[in-house]
Amino acid sequence: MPLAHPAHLMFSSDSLLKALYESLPHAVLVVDADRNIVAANAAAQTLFGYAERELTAMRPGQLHAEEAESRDIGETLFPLGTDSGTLHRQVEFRCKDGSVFPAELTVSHIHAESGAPVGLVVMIRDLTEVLAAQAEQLGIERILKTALETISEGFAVYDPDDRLVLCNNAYKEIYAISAPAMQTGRTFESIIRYGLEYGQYPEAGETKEEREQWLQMRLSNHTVPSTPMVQKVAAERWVQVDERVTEDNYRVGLRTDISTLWRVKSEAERLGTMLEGVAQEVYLVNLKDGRILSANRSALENLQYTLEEIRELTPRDINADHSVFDLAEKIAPIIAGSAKVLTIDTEHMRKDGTTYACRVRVERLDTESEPVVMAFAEDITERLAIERSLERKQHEFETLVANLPDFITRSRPDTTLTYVNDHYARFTGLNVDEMVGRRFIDFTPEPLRAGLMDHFASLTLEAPIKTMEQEMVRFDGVRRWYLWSNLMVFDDGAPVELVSVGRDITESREARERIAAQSRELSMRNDALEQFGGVVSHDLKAPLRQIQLFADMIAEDVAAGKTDDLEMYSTHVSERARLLQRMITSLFEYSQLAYQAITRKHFEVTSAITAAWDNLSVNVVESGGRLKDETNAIAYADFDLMTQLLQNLFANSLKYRQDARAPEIRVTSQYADGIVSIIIEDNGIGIDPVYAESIFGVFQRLHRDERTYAGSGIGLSLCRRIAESHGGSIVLDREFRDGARFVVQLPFGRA
Amino acid sequence: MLEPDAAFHLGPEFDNALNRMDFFRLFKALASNFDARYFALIEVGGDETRFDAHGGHSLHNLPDALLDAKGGFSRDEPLLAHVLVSSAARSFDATDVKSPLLEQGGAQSAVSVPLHTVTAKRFALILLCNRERPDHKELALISHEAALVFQRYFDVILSLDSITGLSDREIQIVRWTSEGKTSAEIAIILGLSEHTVNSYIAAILRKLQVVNRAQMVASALRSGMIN
Amino acid sequence: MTGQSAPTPPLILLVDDDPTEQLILKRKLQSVDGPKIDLEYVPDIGQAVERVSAGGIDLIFLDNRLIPNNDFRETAPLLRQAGFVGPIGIISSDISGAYFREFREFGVDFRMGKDEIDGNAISFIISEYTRDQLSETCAEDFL
Repeated sequence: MPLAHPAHLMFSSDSLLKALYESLPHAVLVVDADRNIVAANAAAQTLFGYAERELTAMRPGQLHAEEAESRDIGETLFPLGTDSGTLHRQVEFRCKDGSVFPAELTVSHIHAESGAPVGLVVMIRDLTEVLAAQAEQLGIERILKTALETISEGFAVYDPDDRLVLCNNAYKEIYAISAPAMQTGRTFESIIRYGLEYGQYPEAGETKEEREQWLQMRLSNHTVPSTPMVQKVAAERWVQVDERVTEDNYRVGLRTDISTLWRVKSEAERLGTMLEGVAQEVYLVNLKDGRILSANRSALENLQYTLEEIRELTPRDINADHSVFDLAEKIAPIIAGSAKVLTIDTEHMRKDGTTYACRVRVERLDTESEPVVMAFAEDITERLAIERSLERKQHEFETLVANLPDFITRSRPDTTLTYVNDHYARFTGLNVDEMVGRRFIDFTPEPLRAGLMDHFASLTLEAPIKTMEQEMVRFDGVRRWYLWSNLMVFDDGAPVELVSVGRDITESREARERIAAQSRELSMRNDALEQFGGVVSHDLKAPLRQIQLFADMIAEDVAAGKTDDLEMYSTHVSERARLLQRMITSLFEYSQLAYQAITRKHFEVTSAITAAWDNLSVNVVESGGRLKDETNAIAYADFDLMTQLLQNLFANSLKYRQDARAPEIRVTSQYADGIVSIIIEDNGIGIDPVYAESIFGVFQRLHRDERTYAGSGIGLSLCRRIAESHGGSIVLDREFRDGARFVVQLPFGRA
Repeated sequence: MLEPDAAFHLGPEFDNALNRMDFFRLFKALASNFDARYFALIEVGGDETRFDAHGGHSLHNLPDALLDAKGGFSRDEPLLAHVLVSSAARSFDATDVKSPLLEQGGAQSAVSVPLHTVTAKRFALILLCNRERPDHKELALISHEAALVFQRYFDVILSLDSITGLSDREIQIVRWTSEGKTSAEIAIILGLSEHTVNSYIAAILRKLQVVNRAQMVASALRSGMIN
Repeated sequence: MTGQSAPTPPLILLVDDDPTEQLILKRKLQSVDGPKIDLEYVPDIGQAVERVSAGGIDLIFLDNRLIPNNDFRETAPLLRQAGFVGPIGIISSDISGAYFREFREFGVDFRMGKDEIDGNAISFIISEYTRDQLSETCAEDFL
């Protein structure tokens, strides 16, 4: 359609130019020197929305969106000058429908053949889409940049020539010392060298050679990255270095701060070494993610896991007793930090599914950054078994205590009972509950209380246990003797508890008293025996010594030719010799009878009296003595010894008769309280009560003149010996005045 | 049984010995054990010109005829002089030594045993034996037995000096003495013999280290034993 | 020290229930060297007390076992109660009893076995207990 008006053009044109003009995607306007639009191509018509005739009726300034811009451009171009070049700027135009669009404006001068400017060619390129695309591009870049800044990891990109393309702040922050060198375009090596120089890499070494070596290693890792590596960048800071090579040979580096993890790990390793040999199972658990960081050998062996396997597990995995919820609840105080230590009894499950009881002591270790939990687990299977066995033993012990014949009490030092066993309670007639809480001193008879309290007060830390014997009254009034062992328990030097055990010693005490009584009697008998020995020694020595002296005197007198006293001396010698013989005979009899074994039997006393009397028949006839036997008793004794006893008494009665009177002997008997009494009385000269005891001594004579009494002095002594060997006695009745009366008492039957 | 036991003086009576009489019996038994009828334990201290058989702690059974007029011996008596020059026992034969004691005692031989107390008092024990002179073996036995009995004599009788404090009986006697009672009166009061009372007083004087009854009472008052 | 110059010979009282002992002791006294010693005899403690009360006794030999008394502990004090302050010696065939150690508590001065008695023992006793009595003021040498 514009081709219909080429004739209007004042310059020659060819067909190519015209085709270009019409088919150009950009709008083209032709403006004359008077600022009139003289032509507009199809693109212009489409762009502005005006028909060609509408455009040709308009001036170019009317198409601008901005008045100031329109004026400015107009003043720049008009009036047309010869030196005016091409104008190129971005402006905004308004379409017929009022919409505004950005465009790139290119204005060229049209010159006449004379060189004078005659018009302008205005080319307008719609920039709407271009600018939109540009804006979109910018937005994406901004988002990327922000994104890079927001990630905590350090990020850097190096181009194929190993120059820094970009890095984020985290990267600079990680390599804080090297940061000033991190400028786009600097090579990786120069940045590293800068860092080395200023001490960015503590692990690089001290000497130049070490650093160079480290650098070469670092560069080779960088050039050909393999697995991630850990790099120390400050005293307490470790980063993990991940590097990749892109398809177009860029190097992308990622730096992750793993200081906490690394520190925990190193602590765990240190702890691990220490705890490796510990018999208890030890686990280190990261409180943040719940993973087991480490476990010692005991734990691994018992659980049957390897260290690698267990590092994949959490405490929940090995816990067989608690539900996840229960465990969480239990462990909550540790996680919350409100408790530092917890002890949990639970069961652990081995890899093979078996379980064992264990007591876990959980301790929170607050390290600088992340808290860790150290758990000590003790396999308490055995301990539980021991505890169960202890419980069983305790039960057995309690049963034993309850059934012991001994009294067992526990009380406070003031004797307030805290425990009594059944046996003691039964003894008092109260039940256990009635006794506990009462003071046992109140159960003690009043007169004994002060002594008992003194006894308790005498218990000291050095000598906390003492025994005492105490007579106790049972609820029914029966008296028993108890041996109490009292133990005072001290705490911090002060008495806190009294433990008393009382044992019934009634029988043994009685036995002891019997023995004491027996030994007293034995001792008495020994004294008597010693006296007997002394008497015998004395009385036998006397006549012997005299015999020798008289013999010496006879010898001296014979030597001196003196004869007056010889007869008297020899008479003395004969007398003494006879006396000696009699004494020896008596002693022999005595020893035979006195120490003869006793053979007891029951017999009528009368039978022994008859036998004794018959034995003395010669004396009876000589003295004219008479016997009145009025006994009716049965004796339980040795018949022969009793006969001897009676015979000795009868013999005395026959001997110690009053000159004018025939001896008369009367024997009676009595029985009372298990004792048979035999009373022998005569009508003789009697015995002065002063001598009531001494007559029973060996060789005791009451009458010096042996022509009156030819006794051996041993008869009564033998009587007493016989009576005592039967557990009985013989005494002289001191009251009897009409002669002598002896009372023999014998226990009837076994005592 | 009739004869004293051979070691009577070393038997129970050794331990039972309480007074001079008892030691007389022990020494007599010792002597007769070696056929000595006479013995004499004589104190030989000082530089006197004679030995006193009656004074001090001497003990003997010599008849008066064997002593001089003053109840002692001349310093020339060889049996006693021996202990001044020797510390070992020696036996003498009557024919070898000119000893008036041996000769007048009618003995065949004699033994002289030097003895001394830990307080350095010197004694001689003389035995006049009716037998041949004891040989060295017997001499050793005699010395030994003499030393034992003498030590006991010292312990019981002579060493009162070292005993401190008075017995109840001694205090009774001091008390009565302080009230002006004579020994005879005190003997009646306490049921003792006058001799025993005097023995107690002698012991008290030695214990209190005083020389007469007045000093005894004063010392006892001072020390509060009586008041 | 003075020699014995008593105008009358010392008088010993023998208390023994065996009269034979008198005979024996009399014979032994004859063998004592030196001046004469007189002897009196009583057979029991009752007569002894009577005799002592009459005075003139210088020394008593007391038999340990006087029938019916047990031993000297019963008899010696009776003599003291009678006012006798002279020496008392217990004589016995056997003096081994432990109670003999207490003799001084019963007013006894010495004890002696009957077989130990001979002439010079008696001389010693006379000398020790009847001569050289301690003076009232000069006792320091005496034991």
